[in-house]
Amino acid sequence: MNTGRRAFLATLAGGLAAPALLRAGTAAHVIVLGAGFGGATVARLLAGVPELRVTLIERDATIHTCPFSNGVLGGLWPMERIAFDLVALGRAGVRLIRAEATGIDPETRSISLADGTRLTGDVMVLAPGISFDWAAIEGLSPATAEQVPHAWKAGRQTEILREQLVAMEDGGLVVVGIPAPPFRCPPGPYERISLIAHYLKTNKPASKILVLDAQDAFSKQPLFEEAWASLYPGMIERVPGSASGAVMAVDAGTMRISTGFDDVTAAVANIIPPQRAARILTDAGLDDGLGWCPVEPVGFESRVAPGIHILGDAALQGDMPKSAFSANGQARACARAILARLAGHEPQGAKLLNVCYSLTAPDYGFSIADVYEPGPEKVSLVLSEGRTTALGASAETHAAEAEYARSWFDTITSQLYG
Amino acid sequence: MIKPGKPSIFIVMLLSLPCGMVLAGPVQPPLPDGKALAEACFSCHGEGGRGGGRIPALAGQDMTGLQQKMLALRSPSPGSTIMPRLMRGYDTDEIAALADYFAGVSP
Repeated sequence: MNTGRRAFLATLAGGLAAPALLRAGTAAHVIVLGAGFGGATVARLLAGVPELRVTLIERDATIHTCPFSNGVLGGLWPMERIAFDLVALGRAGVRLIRAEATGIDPETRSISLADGTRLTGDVMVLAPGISFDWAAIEGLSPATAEQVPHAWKAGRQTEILREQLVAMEDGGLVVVGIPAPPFRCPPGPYERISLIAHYLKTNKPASKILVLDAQDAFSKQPLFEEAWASLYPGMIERVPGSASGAVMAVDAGTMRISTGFDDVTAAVANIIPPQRAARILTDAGLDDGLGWCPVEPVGFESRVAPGIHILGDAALQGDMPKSAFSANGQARACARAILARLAGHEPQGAKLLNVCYSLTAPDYGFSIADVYEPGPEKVSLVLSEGRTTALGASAETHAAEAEYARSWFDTITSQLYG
Repeated sequence: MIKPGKPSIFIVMLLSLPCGMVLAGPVQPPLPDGKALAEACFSCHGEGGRGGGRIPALAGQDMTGLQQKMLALRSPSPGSTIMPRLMRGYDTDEIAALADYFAGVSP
């Protein structure tokens, strides 16, 4: 057992009231769906508890993280930097099932797999992320995403977009389509635009980026615009939602991208569709018809189905953004709540954090950093002012924030997958 | 009246209290759960606050020193980045509980 692993177990043991679990006699079965930042965190924390049996269901053998996938697009690092296997989770005592989950029965807390297997848990933790609303944009589908990638689920989609950028001739037009909120990673599209601009400036400086945005305002907007003006003058043009920026239709054959106002022909088009909670959750009614799954703010237990916790991007918890940092914090709170419940205690809430770094160039980073508090109804932002890096910050500050971003990514991924 | 040289029952009780609790008076609630608060810090500062890459370790440091550092971090200073934005979201009891937790973790 390595030092990190021991530390992880010690973290958990500190908060565990074991006697009631021991009295229970048989190990309680925890089923976790999804090995991303929410699911892997909760699985790894609970797998260290002898009184629990933890099963983790994941479709993919390799997890490709969305954080740092924009760096792949910008040529900052290779795909390997964002690829992680699940071997360490297995070694930690998690029972891994590599399968596509096809259905959830909230009443019986059971989950069906593509091969017909059905698993039932005492507790379920669901962290399957998002699904795309393909029908919202005419001409867009999982099939056309091979020509017009979203790259909003990292992996093959990231590779497709990267390959298209590399193959594009200098002077080409890259169109990035951004949906109306809520979507996974609010500052993510704008970091992506920045790092694509970094790649183009370095390799294809006559190229342009057209941003067709359903939003008017966006996360860390003044900081992004400051960086674009200084790093990539004249390269990025953005059409906001109020000027009919939202993408309405895509023709993958001709690469014609249409808004309500205009049509453009792209050399490369990255159209990110509108999003909702993963379809397996909405099909099971866990979204209560809202598109996102309402949960209580302490242990992130479903408002619809007791004993089922929903973490990360799919959850409707209040003010926290759909980010890896948030999912990880929610998973830690969820693990504490599960252990408290099994020990016969009422879970207690504690403040949570979210820090989202964005890179606009290899050594130019900035951040939004917030404290959240579980209130009676929802998770609430504690302070609504002064949340981001200041405008006009020094080059040293931006370099330090870029360094901290890389450090955070390496630390959190080693905790989950290392 | 406490006689010098002999620990009072008050001190004995204080020393025997579990981590995170301070007996400041009969109506004062215990400090918040330091470990639960501290877990929010681990993805940057490492598991248990044992350090992560370029982010400093907190584990095993002197409690009073940590507490003073965290209180000072509520105001920005040259070279500071995200910490002032985060620390201003915690009250003095929460900062004491965080310092108490990290001080008790073996580095």
